[in-house]
Amino acid sequence: MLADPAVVRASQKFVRVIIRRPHAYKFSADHDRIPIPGFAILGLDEKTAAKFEPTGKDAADFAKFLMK
Amino acid sequence: MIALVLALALQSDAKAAHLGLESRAPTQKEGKDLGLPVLVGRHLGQIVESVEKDGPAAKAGLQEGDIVLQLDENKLYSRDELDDFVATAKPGAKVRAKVKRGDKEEDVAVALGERRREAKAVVWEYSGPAQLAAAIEEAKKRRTLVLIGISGAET
Repeated sequence: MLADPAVVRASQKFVRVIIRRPHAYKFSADHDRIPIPGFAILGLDEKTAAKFEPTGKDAADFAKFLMK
Repeated sequence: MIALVLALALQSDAKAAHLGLESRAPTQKEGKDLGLPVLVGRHLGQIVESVEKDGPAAKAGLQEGDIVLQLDENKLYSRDELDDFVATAKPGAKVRAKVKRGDKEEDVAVALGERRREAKAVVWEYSGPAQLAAAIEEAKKRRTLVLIGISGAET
């Protein structure tokens, strides 16, 4: 999914941060229970503006999510 | 379309940082025996299994058997976190490795090397919760938002 050109292009409008388990557990709990694995868009106040949980279909849906 | 192809080509040819060591997570027994802190079932640290001859880690004096606990402010609970740190660092950057060697902990300055970036996927710019504040500052400068990828650590 992360190699899909539409996703790569859409992702470039954001500052991008990767957080792994076990840190991900606390981060998720502190940020509106972002799904693990999953993605979220944070506002500059660090509050969760939107979140996305990968499913079976994924890449096209994820690109749409990023383009909102 | 041409711009997209060019952007992807530039991204795939970009330079990335390089540390030059192979490592693994401590086993539960090793972690317990060494008194390494635990977070959600994982022990802190990466045990150095080998260092690349004349590579950045070797030049900094890192050795087989050292345990890298932290790179700058990023505490390492998996190989993936080490890889993420290096992947998001700038080639040539000087970083501080907190290393456990025997009973002692010491800070080691490492100048990261450079390699060709192989990934043609989303490129993460920051890694770990310790870098979130820097990411937010960058987002303010760029007047954009922050995309967080929250993932497992498989290694």
